[in-house]
This record gives sequence, structure tokens and C-alpha cells, in this order.
Amino acid sequence: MRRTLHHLCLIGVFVSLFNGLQGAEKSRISPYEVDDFAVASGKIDDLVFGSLRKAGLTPARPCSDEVFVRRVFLDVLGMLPEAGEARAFLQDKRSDKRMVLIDSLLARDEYVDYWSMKWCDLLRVKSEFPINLWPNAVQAYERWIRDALGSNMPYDRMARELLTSSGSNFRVPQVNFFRAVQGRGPQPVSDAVALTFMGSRIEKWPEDRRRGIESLFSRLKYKPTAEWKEEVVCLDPAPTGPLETILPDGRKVKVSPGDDPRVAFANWLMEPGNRWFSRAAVNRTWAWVFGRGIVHEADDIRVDNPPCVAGLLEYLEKEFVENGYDQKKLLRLILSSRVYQLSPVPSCDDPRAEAMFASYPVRRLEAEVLQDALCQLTGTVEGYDSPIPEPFTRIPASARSVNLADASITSSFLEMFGRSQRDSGMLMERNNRVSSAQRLYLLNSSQIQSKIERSWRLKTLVRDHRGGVADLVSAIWMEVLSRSPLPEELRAVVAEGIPSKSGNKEMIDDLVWALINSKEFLYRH
Amino acid sequence: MRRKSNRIALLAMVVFMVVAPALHAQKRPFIGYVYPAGGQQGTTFQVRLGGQDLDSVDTVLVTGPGVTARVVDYYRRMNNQEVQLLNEQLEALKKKPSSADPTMAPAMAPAMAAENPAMMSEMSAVKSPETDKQGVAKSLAAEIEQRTREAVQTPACASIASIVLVEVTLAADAPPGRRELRLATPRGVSNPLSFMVGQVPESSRKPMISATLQVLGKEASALRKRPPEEAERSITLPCTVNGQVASGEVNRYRFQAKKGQRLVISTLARQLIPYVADAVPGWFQPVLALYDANGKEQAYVDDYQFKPDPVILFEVPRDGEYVCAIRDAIYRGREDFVYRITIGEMPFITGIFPLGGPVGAARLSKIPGWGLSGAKLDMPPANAGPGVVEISANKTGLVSNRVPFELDTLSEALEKEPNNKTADAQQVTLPVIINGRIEKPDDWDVFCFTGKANDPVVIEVRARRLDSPLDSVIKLTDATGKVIAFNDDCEDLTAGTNTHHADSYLMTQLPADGTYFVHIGDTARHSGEEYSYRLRISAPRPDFELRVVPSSASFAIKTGATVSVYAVRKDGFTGPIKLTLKNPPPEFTAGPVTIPENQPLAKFYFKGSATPTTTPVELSIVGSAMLGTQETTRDAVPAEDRMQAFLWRHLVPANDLKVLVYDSKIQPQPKHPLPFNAPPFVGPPAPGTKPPIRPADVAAPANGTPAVPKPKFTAQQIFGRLKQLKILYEDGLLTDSFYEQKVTECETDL
Repeated sequence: MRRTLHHLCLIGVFVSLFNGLQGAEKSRISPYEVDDFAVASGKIDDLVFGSLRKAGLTPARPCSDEVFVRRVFLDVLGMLPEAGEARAFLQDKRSDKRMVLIDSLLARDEYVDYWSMKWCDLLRVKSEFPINLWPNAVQAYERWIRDALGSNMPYDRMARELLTSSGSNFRVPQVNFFRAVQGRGPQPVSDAVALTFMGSRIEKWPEDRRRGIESLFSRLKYKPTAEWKEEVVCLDPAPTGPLETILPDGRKVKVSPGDDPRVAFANWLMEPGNRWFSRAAVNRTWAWVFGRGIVHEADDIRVDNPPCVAGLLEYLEKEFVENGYDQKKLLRLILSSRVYQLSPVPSCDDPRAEAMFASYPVRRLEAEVLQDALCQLTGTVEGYDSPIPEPFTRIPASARSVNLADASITSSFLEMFGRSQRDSGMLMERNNRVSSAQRLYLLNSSQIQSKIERSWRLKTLVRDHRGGVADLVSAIWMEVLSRSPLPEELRAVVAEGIPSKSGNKEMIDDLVWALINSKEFLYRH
Repeated sequence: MRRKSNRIALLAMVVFMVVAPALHAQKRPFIGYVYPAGGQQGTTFQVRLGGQDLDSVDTVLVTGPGVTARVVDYYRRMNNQEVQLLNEQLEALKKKPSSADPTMAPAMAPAMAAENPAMMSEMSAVKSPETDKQGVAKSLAAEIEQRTREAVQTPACASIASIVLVEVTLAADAPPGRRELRLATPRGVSNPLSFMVGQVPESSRKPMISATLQVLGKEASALRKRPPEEAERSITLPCTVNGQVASGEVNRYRFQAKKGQRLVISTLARQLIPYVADAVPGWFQPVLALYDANGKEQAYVDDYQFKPDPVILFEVPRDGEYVCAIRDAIYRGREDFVYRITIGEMPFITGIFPLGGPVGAARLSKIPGWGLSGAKLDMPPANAGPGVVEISANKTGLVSNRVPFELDTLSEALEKEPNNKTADAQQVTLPVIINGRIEKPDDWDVFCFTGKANDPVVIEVRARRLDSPLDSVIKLTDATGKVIAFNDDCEDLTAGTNTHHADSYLMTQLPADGTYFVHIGDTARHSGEEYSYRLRISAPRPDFELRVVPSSASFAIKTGATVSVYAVRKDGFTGPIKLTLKNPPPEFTAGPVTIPENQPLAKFYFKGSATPTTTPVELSIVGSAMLGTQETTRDAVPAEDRMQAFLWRHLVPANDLKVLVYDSKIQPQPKHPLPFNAPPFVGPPAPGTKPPIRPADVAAPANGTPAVPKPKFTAQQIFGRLKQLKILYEDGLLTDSFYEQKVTECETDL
């Protein structure tokens, strides 16, 4: 009882502190903001700040190093920085340390893990109903996605392979693009093509354009073999006549018999100057970083849904195409901008400011990222099973939750925290809103309690920092929040009597538990 | 001796169920896996087989020269009560360490001596030194501990839960390659399993105890908790490693390699057990990964071309340590997920061209592959008949993987590019077999021939069935370009382990005199050096292939057995096929059976001798039919009917058909028979039999005194218990005193 009260008091303290920090307008708040930008101004900044000026809105101040290190780790790798990594960055005196950090993170394996997860959300990598890819195809497909991102395959080559490959779903994993849809036939396939590569909802297209794109994907053959759930996806080899239809922009196209209409579509899509392709890619990458696209929703680009910042899409598309559709370079360009490195504390109250990127959008961590963060903090692991194949699949405990390839393999935690079901491939399918069930879970659950209590990392931390209260509390702050505690936070902790003279671990556990419940931990900011 | 007479009375009360041995359905022994699935020439080692219905297993049969094997031990699958009894016995053994344990009541000795003089002399020998008794007790305790360790409460797969330990000896000159291994009991012969004879040193992991059934919601409890240090093993190249993959586990092998070495890391998993029982996907599908000493991935292979067993061909970039890791593609595991990985600079053929040749004149110039410079191809002898043979390359004694090579009697031609369009079509005269390749993307090979109206013509592709990755598609067009016939995939039931029937086939009649064009391409528009094919364009060659299922049979003397013979008819052959035995061993007869016209199946009954076989004999069934004007005979290939993923069925060919004839009156002797005069154990009591009521149990007068106590257990349960005790005793796992004690307990429960 006393423990719960303790717990609640602490949470109250930190919630109010963080909220208070959000509300303060004119004064400089040291842990989140600094005076000057650490990076040079670029074209992105000119465009965004220019449009904010035109709308009469003030952008937020530049973010501090503490905010930056945590933010960039979470945005690039989907994981919290280790205390040592964060400290090393904060103590680094180089003027270009932020760029160095960005480059080093883009070279890490965890980048591939986290961004494969985003791509798997987009491509609906799921073995059971309603996608029905089946486990063997899921593992092959996810492996291909990982290989493509790991080798930094240019986006146009990825798209071409996904759109025009043929072969067995197990041996040529790219063909699963045509199987990872709800149902079979040209309709769901063209739905997926439009959503993925054009960022567009096909149900809003005019009838003739819709029929046009459907006919381009009407000559697919799905040939089953005698291997369980193997299918060979290819152009139907049966003799047929020519195909005359229209492309999504209204132009006529004629496909000779024996030629693959998918190739005709891919050629049109990747024509130089076809904005559909590059715009969807660029807008989606921006949305993956900021949580909202320049056109919002990022997969609903239409004439009556204009971008919120004029000229930004065109600039990014130009850079993207000129760099050979290099996805890492695009990401680097976005991360190195001043717009990305704005503080999460807005400088003006206008509701339009958020949509125009006047401050960094504060969002809750994704389910897998949160699960991994909790496991990383406490040094524990989560295991996943699937009863779909026989004998059952048992994913080794060493794998992180972001590595879960299959949306059909899940846990109650992931479902509660809004993991994407991967039924539609839309960005909104991932639900990062906070619910009371989540709050209660983080506050009350025995799983979190036992994770913290059994955590060997915390025990090591306590053992290594017997030098005094401030020392231990700083270490905990660096571990959980990647920054040093403010003087008022330190005072509040000491006032609660943590840690007591006898070094009571229970109180340390409570402190960590309270911090985990704070918005600062749960949100990326 | 009232106790003993009661016991006899009890057993005599049991209904004596006379069963004619011939009608008693003998379950065919089944073996699901063998681990390790092979060994090095010139070594002796122990292997484990998992199966069921293997009681009294005594013989191991291995095809080919240079391999001998014998049964060492048999761990029958036990249920919980038996395990509990054994645990109680173990406690009893541990409780009396040194006290003289009178294993026999002295009064029974004379009765015993009459029945079992051998036992008597053994007894007297044992009686004297106490240390001997202790030694016996210790070894019995060790054996019981071994049995209880192996016993699994609910095995994941019951059909592989009984374990047989076999010792195998490979001669130093045993020809390397694939053998077939079977087990035989006094009552039956099992199905065959692949067993490999290797040439390089081997490293095998500790065998797995049978996996436990995974229960939904409690999956984690079925995992075996392997100590983390066992996950990785160090080996020196060249090496063949053997292992089993358990649920959620990854097996690693660390080795040193030098810069420039061209390593071939080839896996056998599906090639060992093509269809695993109770598994979906229907076989163990490994993925292989190679890491350097820093953990950075150097290579990763899921499937090699279209085959599920991965092969990594790796040129070592720098000196150092490398780690090879194997796991199931979707992290499944069980004791029958057995693999063999050969790592080293081994000769490896990646694909041959042409895929075959004419009988007596077949030639292969160059074979693409790794480590083949200076290797000699062992081509089939000049007098080899038509059919598919396996060839391999031999480099300084090391034999490569085997690839199929087809011999046929028709004239052959080589494809000549360019022939992608009808205008450039390559002229051929029928009948012909064209050896070609789809080498470039979007390659189509077109051939033309002249034919007359109503000429029947068959166009058959043999590619996938000869290990080519080509997924062929063929069409026949006339001079105007009109498509007369078209085919993509055509099912061939004789290709048992092939799951993608990619080879095309069509049989049609030419509509008119003129020139016709045959087009062949790849369905998925893939191409490459290995995409070879053999394209037969000819008049129909009616023919048939026979499969005998199952590949072993057993029956009692003076009776017979029935096997199914399937006929796969080719090129429109519809005639009847007469089946007979070919050169049967003496006293084996079979009335000629005919597969009727147009039918695919017949039951073939054969009779055996009046004397039982000492060791299972081989039988050959042949079928003969009139093909055209000539009577042709074809050997029937024995096969096993295997199920894939609970749905598909495949006929997997075996090497031979083994038959066992036994005398049903001769019961196999138990290891440790019951010493006293107990009536033979027969079937369970007839339903409705009540246990005998002792006078004490007779109902007391109904005035306040307690009613008749109901018997605690039913007759069925008591009978079952007695049977368990008997079986455990006969296995040599119970001491006499313990057995006595337990039987008495049963009695008092009446």
C-alpha cells in the first residue's frame, strides 16, 4: 500500500514537471532547448520557416543535445540510447557531432531492423487471415526487405522488383507483393499498387482510371504447386491477345501479347518527371520521421489534399531522384535539417503550427519500440510463439520485438499498445494513441513490476553508484531519459527519501517505475 | 501358497481370447528418423532411430556394401504409469543399499528350478557375493534412470517416440553415398530411411530426447532449455556435422578458414527425410547463414535454386574464424529435424549440360561447379540401358554430389541459337530429343518440323525431374501462328519427392499436313546457365511405370501378403499390364495379377513358404504389357506412401521390396521372462467380466452393517496394470521382489 502511494506520488511529481515544462512559453527551459542551432540552415529550413513566416507563426527553438540524442536514436534505430552512448554524445565537444551521430546510426544494423518493420507495415507482411501469406513466405519476404534496406537498395529498384518479379513465393520473395493483399484478382492488387507506390487511395479515382490500372494487373497467374502453400506468381503464359488500356494519368498504352503489362506500368511509374512515384516515396519517408506527412495522410495524396508547406515536396523529390533514389541519403537530408532539430515545446498556440512542423511532433512510442525499450532498460527478453506451423514456431528470446516479421505473431502487450495489424497497409493502421488500458497497464501490471525487480541492469547500476544520492539519481536519469536530472527533480527525489540510507532497492524500483510512467519516457520528443 | 493359487485363479478367470495369429493385424514397424544420418568410412558409431511398433526389434538392414549394423538397445515408449512404476522401483533399489535382498523366496526355489534351470544356476551364482548383488542393483538403477530420462510424458510426435539404439560399422572402402536403412522385428520390416556414407571426419551433437508436445498457451513449457554454451561447436575443416534442431534453437559451428579457400557448405535435410510426420510445412526446411568472427553476416541462403536444402558457395575473403549457423526457416524444431552439413573445399556440381544423352554414346564435356578442376566424371557404362542414372565427379578420391543423367534411345540434337522466333526456328526431324537451355532473359527456343494430318505427336519436357531449375512452358503452333496445344505444368506421379511438377507435356494430333513449331520457354521468365532441358518431340511412345506400395511386407507361414501396385501410364498407353514375381526366392509364389485396361491400380497377393525366413528377403515384381507389337517388361519400383503437411500424398521410391515370413507360433522371447508358472497372457477380459468376489466381500446382512465394498479398480484396470508389470519385468527393469510386491498389491485391490 505504502509502495503504491509512493509510486503514485512520484508519477505525480514528474507528470506535473513535464507538463509544466510544456506550458512555459517565454523563458528558456534548459533540458529541452538551446539558443542556437547546431547545424547549418538548408533548403528544407528555408521552405518550412518561410511558410511559417507567411502564416505568421513562430517556430520552436532549437532542441538541446539531450533531446536530440534520444530523438535520433528512436527515429533511426527504434531504440533508446545506452547511458554510455548518451553520455559520450553529450560530453563530445565537436561542432559536427550531430552529423557524425546521424551517420553512425544510419550505418548500424538496428536501422535495418526498425525500418524493415516500417516497410513490413506498409507491405502487409502477415501470414494469416486476411492476408494469408503463410509463415514460410513471410520469413522469405521479410528477409528480402531486410536485405534491400541493409544494402541500401535504391528505391526505384526495390519498386521495380516488387512490381515485376515472377516465381515461387518461397524462392522469389518479391512476388509476395502480389499475394499480400486481401483476396485475389486485379482489384485488390491495384489497390495495393496505388497505395504503396503512388500514395493514393484508388477508391477516389475516376472509374476509367481505375479500370485502366486493374487491367494492367489482370494477367497474373497464381500457380499452386504440390508444396504446401507454395504459389508461383507470373505473367499468365497462356496465349492471349494484345492489351489496350489507359495508364493512371490517362495516357493510352498498348501491351503486345506475350509482354508483361506490369512492366508497362512500372516503366510509366518510374518515368523521369512522373511525380506520383517520387512524391509518394518522399512524403512517406517524411511521415515516417515526423509522424505526419507533408501531405497528410501520407497515403492519401489527392488534388484536394494540398501539401501544408509549399515547395517542400518538390525540393525533396528533386534531391531524391538526383541521388539515384537513395533512401539513406534522403533520410540523412531530413535528419540534418533544422526543422527536424526543433524543440518539442511549441512557441505559439496556433493549431496550424503543428501541421506545418513549427515544432517537433510529440508522439507516443510504437508498441514494439516500447516493448524493446522496457526490455533494454531492465535487461530482460520477451519470447514469441506461433501455433500456425506445426511444430510451433518459437522465436528465440534474443530477437527484439521490432524484428517480429509476422503480424500474426503477437502478444497482448503489442496489441494493447496499438501494433499495426497489417491488414490494409495504411499508415493509420498503427495506433499510437494513449488509452486508459495502457495507462493502467504501465501503472499496475505485475509484468512491469517483475521486469524492474528482477532487472540485473538496475542492480548493477545501484551497485556501481554507491557514491551518493545525486550520483545514483543521475545514473538512473541517464539510463531511462538520456539526460541529467534538473535540480528541482533531484530535490523532489531526495525529498521523497530516495534512496534511503540503507540503499533500499525497492525505492529505486519505484523511482524507475515512476519514470517509465512519465510522458517523457513514453513519448518521442 | 494360497497367494500364488489365488493369482492363478485370478488369471484363469480372465477370458482366454484365442486369436489366430494370421488374422491378428500386425502393425508395420515405422521409423521416422535416424540420427546421425550417416558417418565416415572406416568408423564405428552409435545411431538412434525413432519410430513406433518396433517391439523386439532385432535386425538392421542396410543396402549396399561395406555397412554392417546391429541393434544395441530398444527404449519402448512408456506411459505415465509405467514411468511411475520405474521411479518406485528406483526408490526401492536406492533404499536397500547393502542388505541382502532375497530376490527369491527360498521356498519357491525348487518350483523355479523345475521351470528354469538356467535361471537357477544364475541365481546360485548371484547369491553368494553381496557386491555382485550391489553391482546388479547399481546397473539396474542406471538403466532405469536412462529409461526414465528418455521417457516423455506427451511426446510431440507419438510415431517417433520409441527409440532404437543401433551400432553401425562402416568399412574403410564402403562406397560413399546414400544407403537405405531399415529395422526388422520378428514380425515385420520397417520403411527405409536414408543413411549416408561420408568421406570426411564427422562431428555429431548429443542426441535430443524426444520433444514434448507443445500446448497452446503454454508453449514455453515444452522448450528444452539447452545450456547456451552448447549452441556453438568448434570444428576443423573439412568436416561433416550432424545435428538435430529443437524448437527455437540455432546451431552454430565455428571453424578456421584461410583466404582464398573455396568452401562448399552443403546441407542435407529434406534429402534425408523428404516428408516428416505431423509437420506443416511438410519437412524440415533449414536456412544457413555464415558469419565472420565479428558476427557480421557473410552469406545467407534459404533455398538453393528450387531445392529447400541450402548450399553456400563461399570464397573466403581473409584468414580467420567463421561461424556457420543452421536453423529451421520458421524456428520450428523436433528430434526428427535432422541435418548433415558438409563444410570444406569439396567438389560440387552446380548443373550439367546436356541433361542426358543417347544410350551408349552419352557425352559430357564440361561440368560447371566448384572444386571440379581435375575431377573425373563417372559416366554410366557403355552398356547402360535407357533410364535415369546418377553421376558424380571424383576429385582425388572425394566424391561430389550426385546429379541425374538421362539415357534414351532416340536420336538427339543440340539447341542452336538464335532460335527465338518462328522465323529463326531450328529445323528438326522427328523423333528427336533436343538438349537446350534457356540462357538469356525472355529466351524462347523455337523448333520446327513437318508433319502429316492426324499424326499423333507428343512434346515432353524433362527438366525439373532432372534437377534443372527451369519451369517450362510449351506451345505448339502451326505455320500461321495459331496455337494448337499449350501446356505449363503436368503432374508426374512417379516423381515422388518433386513437389513442383514444372515439366510440361502435351499429346495431340496434328490437324493438317504442314510445318509446325514447338516453342519452349520459362514460365516465370527466369534464365541462366543451369536452366537446361531435354525436349522430346516424337510420336507417342506408350509406356508405363510401376510403383509397389508399401516397400516391405510380412506375413505368417502358409499365408500371404498383399501390396498395391500402381501403374503410371505414359503417352496414352491404356492396355492391361500383367504382374508377376521376377526370380522369386524358393517357395514364393504369386498368381499373375493383371492391372486392367485403363486402370491405375491392382492389388498384388503373393504367398510365402512353409518355413520362416531367417532374414528378410528381397522380392521383385515386374509388369509386362504389349507396347505396340512388342511385349515389354518393366521392373516395379518399391515405394512408400508419404503424407505431406496433412494433405498431399506422395509415392517416395525405395531401393527394394523386403519380405519377412514368420512362424506365428514362435513368440519372440522376452529379455527377462517371468520365472514362475503363469498362464500365457492373452487379451483383455471380455466386457462384463466381474472380478472374483472373495468370501470376505460377500454382502453382510442388511441391518446396520456396512454394505459390500465396491472393488476399487475395474477388471480392465487391474488387467492393464498386471500387463504393464509383466512387460516391464520382461524388459529386465524390475527386480523380482518388486514385481511380487506390485502383483500382490493388485490382488489386494480386488
